Amino acid sequence: MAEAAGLVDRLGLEASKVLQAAAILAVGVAAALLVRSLMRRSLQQRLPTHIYKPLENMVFFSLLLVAGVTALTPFGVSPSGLLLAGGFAGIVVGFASQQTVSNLISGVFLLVEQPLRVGDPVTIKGVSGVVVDISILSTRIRTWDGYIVRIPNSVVFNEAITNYVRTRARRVEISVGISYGSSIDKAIEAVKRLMEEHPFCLVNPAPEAFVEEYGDSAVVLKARCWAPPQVWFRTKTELQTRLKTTLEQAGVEIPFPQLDLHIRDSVPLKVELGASGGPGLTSPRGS
Amino acid sequence: MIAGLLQRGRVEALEERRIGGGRLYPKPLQPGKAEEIGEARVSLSRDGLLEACDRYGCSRAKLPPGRGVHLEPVPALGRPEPLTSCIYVEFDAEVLHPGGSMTVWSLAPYEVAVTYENVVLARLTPLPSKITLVGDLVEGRICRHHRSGVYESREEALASREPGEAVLAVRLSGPPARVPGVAFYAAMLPIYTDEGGALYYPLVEMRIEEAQAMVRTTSQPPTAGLEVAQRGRRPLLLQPALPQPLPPRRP
Repeated sequence: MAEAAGLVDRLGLEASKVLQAAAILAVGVAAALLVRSLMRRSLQQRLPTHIYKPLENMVFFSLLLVAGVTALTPFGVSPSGLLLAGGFAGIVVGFASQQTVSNLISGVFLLVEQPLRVGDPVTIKGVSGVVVDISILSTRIRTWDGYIVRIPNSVVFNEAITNYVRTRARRVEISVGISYGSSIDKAIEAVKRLMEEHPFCLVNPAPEAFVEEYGDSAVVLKARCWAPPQVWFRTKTELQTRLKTTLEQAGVEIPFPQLDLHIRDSVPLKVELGASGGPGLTSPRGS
Repeated sequence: MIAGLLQRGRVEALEERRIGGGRLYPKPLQPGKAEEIGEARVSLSRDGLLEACDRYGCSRAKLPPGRGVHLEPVPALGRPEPLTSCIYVEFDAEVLHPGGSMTVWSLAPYEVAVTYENVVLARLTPLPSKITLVGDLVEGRICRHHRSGVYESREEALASREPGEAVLAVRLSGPPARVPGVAFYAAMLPIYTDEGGALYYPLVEMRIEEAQAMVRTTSQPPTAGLEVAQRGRRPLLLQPALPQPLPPRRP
């Protein structure tokens, strides 16, 4: 009887500890959510996204971590003891969830080094698009055609990252073929003038145009100018669109692919005329 | 009291000139009127339809009938896209600074903001817009580009102005150098006007160092007797210095 009563007491005690821990966790999570909500209201509009998002992630996950550690205190686990045990636990956890920990650490390094920021257009491991989120474990990219791709942070950290806006200017390149009968000088002058008049082509470095190749059907010209990365695509499409009209106005022809056919010997051709004598060709007749 | 009366008299005189001559800024545009500054054109119909156009496009807005708008000069940083916060004025001829302190006069572009009740409805550029890189591709700056002559006096600069150009005074100091142009931060700068309606950027100070110059925009007008041309704009107290590479003294 006494044993049963002791068991009930112990169970009650354990249940109260679990309840305490759950309460601490609930309060901690609620506090983290509340802080995040307050941050979104007060800071999100004032700070650039690339600064705000990492800050929000750090504060939110730190609060969750504190809540998790505090929730262990009813079971007699003190934060200092947890720190002492951290070394051993780290090894165990590290072996158990190596990839997750790797992502976590890579995420921290990504936040510190910032090779990419939220809003940057990038290419990582063949995935191109705009960074929409850098969280503690993964980075999300919205591709140019609108898909969301999640890349683990360890992959992001170890792969070559092409960031298209971490430079002051990008080069716009356009190739165009002109006919062999057109004036190269006139064409180069017209293309250069087009780039010089475009508001986004930089004055310095200056735009340039030159003969790239003598092709099968055309003399291929290459036009290059530098533009700020924010308007690179717009500059390229506008130049490409206007180039045809510009060359036409300068009297320069953009040729179709063409093939000259040379016939060495004259070969007799058999023609068959129909009995009615009309255009139908029915009966063979020697030439 | 006398000072107060004098001040009031001065304000009234300014208002009179503003309404009568219509040359001082901010320039009011009443319904049924149109205004052209270089390639920029603003018209406001009697039924409140505003149309503001430059070579990069048009903006349209419907205002309450009978209400006017204001045209205010602003630094040329917004057209066709707000990509930069600085202006680079490339001199037609390189200035050979002999060392010490000297002031040169030049011209820089401005844009026109069309405002209604302090809300900017449109920005227009009276001149074609170009941009350039000042410095290298990694650390440099993209700035609005403008080519201008260099003048020895304000009067000379005033006489050479085209629509869309404001007078710019640059105070050079430091060792001898070749100065091909001046790049300065222009975001949020006040623009000044004189009684004749000419516009002025604040004084720009260029401190020449070994292979570069540090250019700082002051908040002071380049000459006495000017007033801020924008409504509610106060001179800025602090502007960052912009580093600008200079060509070597002996090429």
